Amino acid sequence: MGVWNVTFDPYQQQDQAQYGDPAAAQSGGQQSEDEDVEIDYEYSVSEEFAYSLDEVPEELRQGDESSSSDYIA
Amino acid sequence: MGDPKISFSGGAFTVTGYAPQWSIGNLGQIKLADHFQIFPPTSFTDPQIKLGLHLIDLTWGRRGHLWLEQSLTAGATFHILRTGASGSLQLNNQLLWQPMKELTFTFHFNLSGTLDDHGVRGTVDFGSQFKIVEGKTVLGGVGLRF
Repeated sequence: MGVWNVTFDPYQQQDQAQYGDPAAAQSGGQQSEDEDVEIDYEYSVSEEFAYSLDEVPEELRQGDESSSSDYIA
Repeated sequence: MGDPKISFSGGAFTVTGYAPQWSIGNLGQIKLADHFQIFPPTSFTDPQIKLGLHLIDLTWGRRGHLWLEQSLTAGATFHILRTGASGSLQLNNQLLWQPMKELTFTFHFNLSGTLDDHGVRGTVDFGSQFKIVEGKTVLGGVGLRF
């Protein structure tokens, strides 16, 4: 029998796999068969847009005349 | 067509977010700037940035949900964290409203367009990368097979 390590540490995942999920065991003594899965995916699309002037805030309708250089991204 | 008041070409705004317990669909219900930081192109002027952020709000509000749905028709790769097993899989729309243990994303809005006396028109190139982590059993419940 092993000793439960209830502090999550990714480097202890080997032990968790051997002894089951500590949280599940503590709550009812049942071992969880669930495993975390990481999924990666990408998506891209290109579309045209057109908005009327009514949808543009008044302050922006004046244009680029008041361009400032003090913006810090 | 009136005189251009603000023009911009090829400026990419970037949004990176970490949203544990969110579903992918939740991202389409919000105004991105209210929850995540949006980084504008460094070459943009202040009015260009303000207009760009406004266009992202408008465009995300109208197209964001559809784009998120469409993204789930893409192929994906998976990696089982404990065993290291990996492979490819086909996603599906059942995943849209499934809360995830971890949801990390990066969006790029590459905007080109012009504001004139009639309004603002142009193109948006939207690119996105998603990384989600969830239990195999939960993901199996929404039709994913590994």
